Amino acid sequence: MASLLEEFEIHNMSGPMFTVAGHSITFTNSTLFMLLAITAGTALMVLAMRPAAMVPGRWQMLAETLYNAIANMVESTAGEKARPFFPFIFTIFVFILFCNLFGMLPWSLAVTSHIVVNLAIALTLFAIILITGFVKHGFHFFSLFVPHGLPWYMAIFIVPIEIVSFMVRPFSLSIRLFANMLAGHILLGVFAGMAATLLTAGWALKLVGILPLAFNVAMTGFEFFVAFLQAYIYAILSAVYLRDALEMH
Amino acid sequence: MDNDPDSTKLEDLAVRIQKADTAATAKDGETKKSSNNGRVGYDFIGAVLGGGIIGGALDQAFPSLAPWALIGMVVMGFCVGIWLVWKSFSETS
Repeated sequence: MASLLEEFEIHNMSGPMFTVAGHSITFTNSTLFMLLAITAGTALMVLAMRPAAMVPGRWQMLAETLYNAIANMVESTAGEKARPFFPFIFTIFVFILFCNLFGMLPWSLAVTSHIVVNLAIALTLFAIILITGFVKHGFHFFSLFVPHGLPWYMAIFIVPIEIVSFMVRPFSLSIRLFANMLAGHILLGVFAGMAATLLTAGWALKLVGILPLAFNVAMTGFEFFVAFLQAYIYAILSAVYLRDALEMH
Repeated sequence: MDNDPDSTKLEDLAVRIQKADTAATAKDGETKKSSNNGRVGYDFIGAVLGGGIIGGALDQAFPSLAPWALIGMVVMGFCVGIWLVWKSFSETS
């Protein structure tokens, strides 16, 4: 039987194309699905909005719903000042959403089940947050780590904890998405294997084998929900972290 | 505006703005509440693992620290994890 982790393997689809800092860059299946996600996301937004009708059609409705959901979320969590960052957060959302959804196709790779992809997005986000914070507030930005009305003897303990808690944010942000995608896909694989083994066994076991099959059908639906939800949560947390840099509580 | 009887349009606008404002603040609380659900566990794991990764990177950058940066940062990450969990529970209750 094929390994459960086989669906997460990365294959080279071309020879080395060029080298960057000693690493040879090849076109892999991960690259392919990221490109597909970008193409599909861009196509949805550009083609669906092309008619720009007053009474939207189905596709335009979908695009507008996604846009409004993220726009409202950014404004309500990070405030009016976060509007310049809306395109960035919306791009993150659409990219992760389409990566997750393409991962649901058979024989495909869920790009977001590789933590390096999530971490790269999260670190880009934190670079932007740090730059924004320092540009807007200068060295006053460090007061983010000192809660208001804190006596100095508590600050000795709290300030290092707050600094580390800021530094580990990209990790918890990317681990959440990675763990959800990995766990979901492995769970689907486990139950699919169980159903296949039981359904090809004797007649009594065939009856039992219907249970994991039914569970897998339900889980597939649930995975589509998780694909959307995790992309949305990633966007929400991006906005929450952005608020800290903009407002400095 | 209140003294002018002809400004029904403006008053109407003010009422609508107020409605939108209350709707926005209501939505605000909603998102904050829902964003706390299911965050806690991953915050804790992320803090410990993130501390470990930062500590390991520090050890590699300054080999004279090894292995104390790793050990220190994992312990620090654990403290941060507990702190985050405690903070989010005291926020929601």
